[in-house]
Amino acid sequence: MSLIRSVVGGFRRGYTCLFIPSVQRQNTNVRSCHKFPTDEPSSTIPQKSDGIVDEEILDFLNDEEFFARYTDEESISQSQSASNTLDLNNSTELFPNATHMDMLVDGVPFKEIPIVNIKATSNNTLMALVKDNKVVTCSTGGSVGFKNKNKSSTVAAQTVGFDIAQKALFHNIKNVRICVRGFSQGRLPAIKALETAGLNIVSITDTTRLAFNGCKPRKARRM
Amino acid sequence: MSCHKNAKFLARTVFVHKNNVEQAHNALMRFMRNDGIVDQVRRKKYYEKPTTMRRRISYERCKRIYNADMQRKIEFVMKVNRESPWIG
Repeated sequence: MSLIRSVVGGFRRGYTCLFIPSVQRQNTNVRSCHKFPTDEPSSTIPQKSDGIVDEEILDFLNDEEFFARYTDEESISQSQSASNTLDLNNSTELFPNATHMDMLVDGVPFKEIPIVNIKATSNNTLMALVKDNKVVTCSTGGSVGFKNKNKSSTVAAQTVGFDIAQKALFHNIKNVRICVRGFSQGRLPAIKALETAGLNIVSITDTTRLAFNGCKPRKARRM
Repeated sequence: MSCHKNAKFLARTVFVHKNNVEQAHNALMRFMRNDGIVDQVRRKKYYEKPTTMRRRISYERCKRIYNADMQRKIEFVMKVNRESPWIG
């Protein structure tokens, strides 16, 4: 950090009117502002100090098997469907794809596992257990005994999680998928409570509503 | 393959390995933060006036250019395996 400050020098005042003509503009539109250049594979190729790429490192460009591994979609899907069970204790896959929907978790396809919907708002935490597109049980901060301001606390979210987990185990539901909505403080405690109460959580999904220039939001608060 | 009701499980979803919920949740949040979803939700909570939006976009653009240039400079300064300047 001290190095950065020393290099920055006189530019410390602010960014708003700063313009550096020597730099080529890369991501000037709004949509591309989150695309970081580090994701490009070219940046991973180490270079010599004079800028010439080491030829030995680029040998894989001539290797046909290397590309076949990544381009042949059939071989990828076959390798995944060969074992039709979703073993999350041994696999390292983080994100699901279309082939995972039919894979089995304890004999049930992934797409038919019961869902726990969590709505974590700033004032309350609401959870509902859904099986076969029907709500089995639901629970909220108020229904587990919290009132007024206490409903927004993390303890309330945790209690709601325990409550739902107990009800799920009562209905012989062991494996669940989780859908979370909202970024409030009760989000993580609610998920953790489900896990500590004995449910086996298969996946976590974020279903926060995103407006792509939807309705006009309410007026900003003036503090 | 999968019906439309399961489409939401293809995006913004992580698997939980060995019941390690916190790790999976952190991974999910990290990817969403990198994609700007968290920022977008926070910004859409209240109406953003056009002047504020213009100022913000301009600020972000300048900051991005500045950071990229600064990164380039720091990489240049930190480069260690340069060739020896002494000939012979």
